[in-house]
Amino acid sequence: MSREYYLEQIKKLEQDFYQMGEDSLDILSRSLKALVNKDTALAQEIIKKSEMMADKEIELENKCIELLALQQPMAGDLRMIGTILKVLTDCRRFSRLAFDICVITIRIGKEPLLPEINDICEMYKNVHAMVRDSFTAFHTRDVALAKSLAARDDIVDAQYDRVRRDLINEMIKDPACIDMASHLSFVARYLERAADHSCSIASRTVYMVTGERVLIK
Amino acid sequence: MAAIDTTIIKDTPASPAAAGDYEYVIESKDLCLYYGKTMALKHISMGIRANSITAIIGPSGCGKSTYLRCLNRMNDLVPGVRVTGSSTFKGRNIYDRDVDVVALRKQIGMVFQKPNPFPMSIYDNVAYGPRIHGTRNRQELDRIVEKSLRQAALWDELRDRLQDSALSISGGQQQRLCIARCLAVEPEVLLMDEPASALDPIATSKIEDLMRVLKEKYTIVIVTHNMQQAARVSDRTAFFLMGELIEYDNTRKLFETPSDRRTEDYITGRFG
Amino acid sequence: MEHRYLINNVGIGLLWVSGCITVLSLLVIIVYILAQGLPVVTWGFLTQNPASHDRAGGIFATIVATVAVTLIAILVSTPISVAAAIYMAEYAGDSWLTNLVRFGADSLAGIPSIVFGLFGYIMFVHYAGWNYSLLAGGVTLALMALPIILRVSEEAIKVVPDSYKHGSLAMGASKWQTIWKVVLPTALPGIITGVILGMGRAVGETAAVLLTAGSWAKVPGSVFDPVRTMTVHIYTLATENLSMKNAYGTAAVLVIMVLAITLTSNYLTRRYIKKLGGSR
Repeated sequence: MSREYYLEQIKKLEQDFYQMGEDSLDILSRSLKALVNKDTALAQEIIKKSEMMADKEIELENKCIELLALQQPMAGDLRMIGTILKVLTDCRRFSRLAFDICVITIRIGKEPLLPEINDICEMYKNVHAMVRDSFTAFHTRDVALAKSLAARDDIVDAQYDRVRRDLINEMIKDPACIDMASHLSFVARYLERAADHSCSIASRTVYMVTGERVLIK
Repeated sequence: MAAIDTTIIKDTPASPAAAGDYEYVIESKDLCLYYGKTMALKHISMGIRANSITAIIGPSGCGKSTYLRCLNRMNDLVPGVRVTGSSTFKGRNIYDRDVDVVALRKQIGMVFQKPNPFPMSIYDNVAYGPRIHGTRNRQELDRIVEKSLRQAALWDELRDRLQDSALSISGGQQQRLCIARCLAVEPEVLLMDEPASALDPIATSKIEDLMRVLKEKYTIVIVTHNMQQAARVSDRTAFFLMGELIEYDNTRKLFETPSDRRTEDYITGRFG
Repeated sequence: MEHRYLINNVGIGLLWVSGCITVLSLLVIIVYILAQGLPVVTWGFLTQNPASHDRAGGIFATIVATVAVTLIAILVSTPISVAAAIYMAEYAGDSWLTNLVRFGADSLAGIPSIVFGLFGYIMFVHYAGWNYSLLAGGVTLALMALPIILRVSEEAIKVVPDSYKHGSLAMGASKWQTIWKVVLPTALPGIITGVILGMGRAVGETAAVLLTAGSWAKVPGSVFDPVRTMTVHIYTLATENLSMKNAYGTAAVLVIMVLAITLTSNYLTRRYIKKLGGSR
């Protein structure tokens, strides 16, 4: 009972999902780069790419439904498809957050940023690693790596809190920068959300590999 | 768990113990079966709970049907078969020398892969069991026939055709008639050997619906090569491979998160 | 390509011709006998005994003798051979004993009837002291019918599907109940066929009955009286050139009887199979 075609499809689905993750992370990185460099052209380009990711999400979702309907996957395959269906949403959020950051970038235009942008970039290093690792854990079935995200999310949360407090202080000190501070506060918030989504992917990854439910946040 | 104590077996040969007295209605321990020198079943140990549906799956030749036939000693009919270890029915080893096989099979009925109604009328098919076990009274037989056909969800379809030949009805009806025929002797356990493999999807789902109803009163063990069927109907599933019991667990657990690599490979189609 | 078609067509043609020869020869024999014999067959011919040293009169006594001898043969051989068939098909398996019985039965079926006649003459007529009698003839014919009924019944029982037996056994029926209630009813048409074939052999037998039942053309009073069957009557009339007309008349009646037996049994068997479900 060899199911060549089915096994190919399963492999391709996983590959496609992993690729979508890579692309989403790339979009997120470049959205921050556009903000830092005040590169509105890049921001425009990323907004377009983000919309393409919405199509990708639907495409993969359909593929999952097709496999469920036509191939009746079981055990590990069933858990993987169920997991992909679920974390597709998280994966899609990364590019959606990039979209939001780009909208802010365009709105800011040529205005100077506040010095807290450095802390935000520092925070993003951690977020980037978390998102990257959540996909790696998924791809390599690495439960330990997935579970490591819980502690790292705490660090990002702490960084976010600090950036937010600093920005509020800026607003209090100089009401003229309220606009900019609130923009940056949103960007920090978006990045913190990205870290949360990576945790969601990690906890589903643990289910996919072991069948047990753990909460990573 | 009920202690499998040999003194119980010897002292109370016809102990009318209720199914509730034992955790398992049927329990095999270290059961091995040989066809001549070939070992077809290797140290099978598993228990079957009352009022549940237990499915046995595995590739062809894995011993699943052989194991099923051990449970009512139908393997006795095959020349050269030897069984070691034990298999108990309500605490009593059915392979003991003083076991009445005829009485055992009355309590553990069997439905076969191919519908095998006898070449007689529908009525006579259902009345066959009660008759060979001594029921002669016509009213009593009428009552049993109606009750059994009702339990098999056939009464409404066949009530006006009881005197027709059992071979004149459809394959799906024939298989349900065979189930009704088993029920007529009021067994406690129903063994089903791929009961739907010769039937179309509609007839199959009727059999499956019937099984879900019947498990309220009976204990069902079904051998199937259709994994989806096992997943749909059973409470617990056992996976056999080359005469060994590889994994035995709740059906949901076995199909969602099997513990053994070989189970996973089999149910996901990565076999070999 | 053409060559192949040619061979194919020639083959089909040969088969067709063979079939025609078979049917035609059968028809010719029957038609000829009926044409020669039927004019003789009157009510009187059927109900009167031979008269004037067999040159005239009817054949009533020989009809009675044929029916009686056949009946005895079937009544004696059927229970024995069916019981043996059940034993061989259901109990003995493929042992040296069953192989020996099968070999014996096949050999018996091939033995010339005159040998049976001699055996019956020595065993029953002489040794048992039954003299030329209905009984000696019937029992000798029973011996001849036995291997036929045995082999046909055994086959009929063997082809009863195992699924029926397993179905019955799995419900807690004993082996004997299974045989009696499921196997035998299912095998019955086949067994009946065997009995009919045995009957055919008994009705048509001449040499063996001549040597064991005698040639006394009177209605017998008991099984120990000598009788003359229709076949023996034909033989006597023809060899002693007493009356070819009456010989053909007797032959015509005999042919009609055999045809009637075959047709009735066919009809009964078909009706029985229909009752069973008709899918076999």
